[in-house]
Amino acid sequence: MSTEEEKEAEKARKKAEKAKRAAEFAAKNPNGFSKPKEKLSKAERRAKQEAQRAAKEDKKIPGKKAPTNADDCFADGSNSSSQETSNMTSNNTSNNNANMARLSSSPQTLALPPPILNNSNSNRKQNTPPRKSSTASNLPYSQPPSTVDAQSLFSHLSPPIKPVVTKTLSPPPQTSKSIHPSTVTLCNSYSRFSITGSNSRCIAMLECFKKIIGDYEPPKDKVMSMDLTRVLKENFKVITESRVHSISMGNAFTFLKNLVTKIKHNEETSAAKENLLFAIDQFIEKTVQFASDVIAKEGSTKVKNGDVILTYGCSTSVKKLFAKALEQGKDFRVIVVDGRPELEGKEMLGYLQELGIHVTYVGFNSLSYVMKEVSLVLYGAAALLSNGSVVCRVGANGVTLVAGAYRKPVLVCCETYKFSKKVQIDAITHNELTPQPEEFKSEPNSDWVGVKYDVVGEGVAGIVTEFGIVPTTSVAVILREME
Amino acid sequence: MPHIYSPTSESLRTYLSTHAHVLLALDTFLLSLRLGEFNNPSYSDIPSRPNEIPGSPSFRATDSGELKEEINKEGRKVSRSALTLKAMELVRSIVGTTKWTSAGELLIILEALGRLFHSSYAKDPCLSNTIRRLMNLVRTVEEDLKTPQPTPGALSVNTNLPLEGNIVPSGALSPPNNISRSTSTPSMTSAFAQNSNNTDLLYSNLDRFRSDSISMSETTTLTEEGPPNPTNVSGIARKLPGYFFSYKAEFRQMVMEGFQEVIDDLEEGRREINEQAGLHIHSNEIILTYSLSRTIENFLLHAHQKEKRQFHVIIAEGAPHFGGHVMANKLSSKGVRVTVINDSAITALMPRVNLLLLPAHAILANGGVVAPSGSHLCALSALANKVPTVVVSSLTFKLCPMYPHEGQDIMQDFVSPAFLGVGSESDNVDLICPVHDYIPPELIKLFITNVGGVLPSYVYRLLSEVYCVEDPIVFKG
Repeated sequence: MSTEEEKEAEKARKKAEKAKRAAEFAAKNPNGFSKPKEKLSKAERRAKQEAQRAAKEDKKIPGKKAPTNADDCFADGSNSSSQETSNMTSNNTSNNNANMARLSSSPQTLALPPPILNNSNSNRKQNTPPRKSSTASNLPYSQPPSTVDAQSLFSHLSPPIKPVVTKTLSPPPQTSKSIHPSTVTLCNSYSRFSITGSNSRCIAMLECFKKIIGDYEPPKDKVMSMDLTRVLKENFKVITESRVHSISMGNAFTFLKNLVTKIKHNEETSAAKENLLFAIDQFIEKTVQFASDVIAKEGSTKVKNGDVILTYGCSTSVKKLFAKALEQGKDFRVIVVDGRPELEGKEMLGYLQELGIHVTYVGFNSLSYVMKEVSLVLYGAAALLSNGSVVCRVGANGVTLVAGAYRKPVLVCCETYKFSKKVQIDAITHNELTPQPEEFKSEPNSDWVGVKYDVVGEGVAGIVTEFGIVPTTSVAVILREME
Repeated sequence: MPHIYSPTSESLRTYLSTHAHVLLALDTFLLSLRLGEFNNPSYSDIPSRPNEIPGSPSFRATDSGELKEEINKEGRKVSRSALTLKAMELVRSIVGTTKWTSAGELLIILEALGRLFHSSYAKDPCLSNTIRRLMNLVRTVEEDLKTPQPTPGALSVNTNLPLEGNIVPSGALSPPNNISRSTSTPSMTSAFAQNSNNTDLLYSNLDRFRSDSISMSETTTLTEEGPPNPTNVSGIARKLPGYFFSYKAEFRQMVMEGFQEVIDDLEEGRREINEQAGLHIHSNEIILTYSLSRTIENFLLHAHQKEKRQFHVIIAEGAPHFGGHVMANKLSSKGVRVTVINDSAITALMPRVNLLLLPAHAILANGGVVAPSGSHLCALSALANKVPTVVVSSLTFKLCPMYPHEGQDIMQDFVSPAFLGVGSESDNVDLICPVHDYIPPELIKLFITNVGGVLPSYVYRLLSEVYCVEDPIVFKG
């Protein structure tokens, strides 16, 4: 009973807080734009609609053409700074943009006269600095952009990293003491994309941590487990800044952190370091490398003589699987589908050619053309989320869709250390952006959006793990078992 | 005066032998087709084409000056509608200048042209479709002339009767019921009423009876070099009823007017499609489109400029041809906000898209569409996200009477795998670069055409309006 009362009290408190926040928000933002649609009360919605209607009617009267919001007055697009403004304003409303846009249907064709409606604070907004110097979260309010912007859908993500060969990373001054030189080297290879693929990136990171731990000497006055955790965390943060870490890296780091926190107070530094290094080696060997060997073995049981296997991207475990199946004397051929921007299929093509397997190499546009003859679709995943979503190279969702249309089974190879408790239902909420390719020349009204990962929600027949082939729905179960 | 009896290349050439300039124009056009100057027009705007065929040969006749100029001016940028228009004008000049005498003969000429076009350029159905359309037009005009306003009394028919009986040389061969049948058809009266010339009447009546009688050879021997009739012709014309081979004075003019209407249709088609833009695009919409399409470009521009709609277009680049880059530049230069994405990111962005617009290479009888390769994935992804897939296309020359399972079904075509950018000497590697995808009708929500919005399930019905079932589905010699 008492617990229930507590719950009630808690609820009431939360409610009060919510109300307070809402009031604050309303004070800051009379138009109520930066909150999702659902948060508006009925009355608010009606009021807004009426305002819009009024605005529309105003427009109908010639000579009294008034745009509905501040951005409208820039809407002719010739002004590039207005574009930036709209990009910026959309930053923290990105997910609401679609909704909000529907609410604020405003044909923007007129540049003049300046807005005269009830948006005194939006006039101020025109003077806000361009996107680069201000992050969206600093803005006290925001308004929907004049048009829905595909790029603004991704403005919550960090801008794409352009692989720069000569880029040297200077560690942040206040933490520079803890940043190991090998971290800087690693960061450079990440940001240059010389190390890619979730397995390779994870192993490279662990090797880097091994060096850090090897060189680590705990300060006299500090507890090793605490201090080493701090050092590792700082290094990891720098690594993450060079390029968003993959789930495999995150999981490996969590594993390492757990090991470090388990170091006892009285343990000798050298022995503790030895143990740590050994554990990392074990992790690399067993959890990463051995796992993919087992996956290759498990997966190769699904390869039959005469099979035509379609693969996408260049996964280490899929490569191993092909080698294994060939070793078992199976007669099959492979269709490598390649997709921009990574074009990893070329690497796969080279590998399969070395193995002597008959390969058909096609572009992404040929998916539907080649899918008819395929008997099995196989690709590797970057991560598996506990809601059963498969995170993989962008394009894999398309491959899965077309496979589904032709009723072809799709198997995804994934080591269990890439399983994550996170959930994601589309590829927009969390992703990594890719830079604009050189062939594409952007113009004032055109831009580029590229993403690195796809989230495959359905259509996957099974996941090949080192524990066998399981359905995607079992990810949560396996995660629980592993704990 | 030469006549044409069979829809072969040779007979057409013999028929055209007295019209050297027409024959020359035809040959020049066929040569351009064979040289691939009209190849894959949907990809003709590719910025860099790895294996460019060197410019148009210099041995081309002066007659082709205009054509050559157009190609040179824009550098292979000849759209399919321009190609169709070109073909139409050629057909019109052939039909307009030569001395055919009857609808049947005209149909033979058209069938011969269809075969020639097909053998020179089978990969694109637009030429065959145009010819088929013209053939249907000829049939319709002929049927109209056959059944004009029914004349008031049967009296006049009766007065005609003895005349017919007298004229027919081998009257005994035609049984009385035959006569009564033919007289009951108003065409006889119409021929009488409108043709004061007796010889014309004679011809038309003769033909009428010839088609009904069994022993034709006797009469045809009289006119060895005479006009074609159902027995001395081959091809589809064999199945034509006899009255198709009768001369009708106003027929030529009506056909030429009809041709002009078809040409106007071609030119107006785009405008009619564009007029619907406002009905389908709302403010602040995110529209996804694939690669390059002039029809969609114009459609979107109309919505932006005329309908004053603000929307955002996401364009899939359409690798390996990158038509999407060209499309993006075209649209953005006119003020449309565009974002270009990799083809692989289509599925990632689809959940936020409101509308998918796809171009069509051909629309098949079942309502399926032949579209640029890669667009099948777009349609699948759209369906998975409940985004409506709308095909914007003119029906004037893209509507095909064949179903996707018949023979050459989806008109697949391939281009050089050099586009893939992978060099391999190995025998163990296949490189494929197909041009088209077939999109089944169940993935398509709507067609926006020059005759309005059409459901895929209604396409078959439109077919019967523009084509005649008796005309060949494929023009094969």
